[in-house]
Amino acid sequence: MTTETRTRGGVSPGEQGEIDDLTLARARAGDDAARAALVDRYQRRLYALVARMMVTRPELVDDLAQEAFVKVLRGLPQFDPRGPARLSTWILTIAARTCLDVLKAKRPAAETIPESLAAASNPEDETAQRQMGRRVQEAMARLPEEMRAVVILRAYHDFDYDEIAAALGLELGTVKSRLGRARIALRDALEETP
Amino acid sequence: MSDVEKPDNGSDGFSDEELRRLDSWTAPAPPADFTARVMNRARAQAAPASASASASAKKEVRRPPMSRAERERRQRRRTALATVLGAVAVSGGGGFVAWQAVAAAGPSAVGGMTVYIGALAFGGILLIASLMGGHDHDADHHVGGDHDQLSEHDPHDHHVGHAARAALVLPFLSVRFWIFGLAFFGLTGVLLRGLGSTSPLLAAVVAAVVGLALGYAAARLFQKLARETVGELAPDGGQVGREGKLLLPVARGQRGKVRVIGAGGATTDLLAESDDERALPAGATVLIVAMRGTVAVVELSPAPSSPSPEQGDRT
Repeated sequence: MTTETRTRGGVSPGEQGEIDDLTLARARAGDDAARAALVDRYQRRLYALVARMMVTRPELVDDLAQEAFVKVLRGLPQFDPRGPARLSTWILTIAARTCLDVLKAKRPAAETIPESLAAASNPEDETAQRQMGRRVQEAMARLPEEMRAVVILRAYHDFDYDEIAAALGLELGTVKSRLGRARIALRDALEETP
Repeated sequence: MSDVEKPDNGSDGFSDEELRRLDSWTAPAPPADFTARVMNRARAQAAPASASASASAKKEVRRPPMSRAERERRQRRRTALATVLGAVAVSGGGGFVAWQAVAAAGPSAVGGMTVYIGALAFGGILLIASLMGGHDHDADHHVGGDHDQLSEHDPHDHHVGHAARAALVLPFLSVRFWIFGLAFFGLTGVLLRGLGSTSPLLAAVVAAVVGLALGYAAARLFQKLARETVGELAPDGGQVGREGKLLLPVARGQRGKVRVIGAGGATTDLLAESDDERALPAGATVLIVAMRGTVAVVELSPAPSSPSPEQGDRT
């Protein structure tokens, strides 16, 4: 099934660039092979984003990642390669919004850590790195979804503040304040857990 | 830490220590068959849009949706051009007859026919000019405003009555009406007066009636052709993937209205609905992701953002 990657944003350095112009043009024109190449190129980044955003609903990750890509492929002819946004930013924006829509629609009565996370937490079996990863995951799961989205786009996908604001439809000041509050919440959560 | 070193950006950025912690949370990679499943899903979701086209379009579902629409649009354009060419030929013929009639009746007949000859010449010149200009988007479109599929396809909408009345009145506001009307008014007058078979009063009345009728018919014909061209875009899925601006807000269970700007600047208004949980306000830029009949399914457009100049390719 799925394997795990330890690299930034869920991708290795070789996968971090943008797709070449010719493939993009062919994909925008509807060429199936080029569209598949585009999915191939961005799938790890998008999948990682969706997986982190949906940390409280891991059963939806695969379906949402697919749905986000379908939206990307539908909207691709409208993407302007000469515009200010990189293709990766545009794609990840679609993915983030798709996740937020679902999270808001299917918000549980109370924010709870999924049993799968809690049950798997067995510090004695894990290395320090894995323990920290588990704690971060749990702390992220406790963040409100809008705040989590800001943190993930900033920390794992290197969106700048303007990009986050545009992606999530927020004011720049709101982005900064949410990021600041998220930092404090994460710091508190990581320091209070052993 | 990660592949990318980031400085501590102050109170709202992440320090290296924080990033090191965050990066310890690994993300799952997509399954090996992920791309194939995405492509299958994209094809499956694209198919219903094509399948909702007309019966004839269903037979050609494998063809690119717009290619058929484009072909038919060109066919209609050829028909329209042929109509204009025919009108020009008739005008030219009429002018020749008039010239012959004047020559036969002598200079005294010219005074009585000046109005008709002038109308024929003016209308004929404008017809030729419109033909040379070759623009389909004439006054029929602009005077009437936008193509409003909302009023054409939603029987419950109060726009229908307005649209029906407007459709009757609009031809008289059309430049095309006046061009054809003048040309045929002049032609009829020249023929009747030049042949000397009717009284001046009767000739004037008949010429006016013929000019009005043919001008109106021509304007309505071109209006209908233009409307049919736009109307076929929806079932063919031609609007899917386009961006538009909401004229009326959309919420789950509440239809609104979206204005789409197509090629050449022509606008189309469509009923809009959304599966989005969020209410989409008027003025929002939306992406049409599907068509349900003539209703556009929209969602908030993922507007391109503006990366800062110092931001490189970091992702």
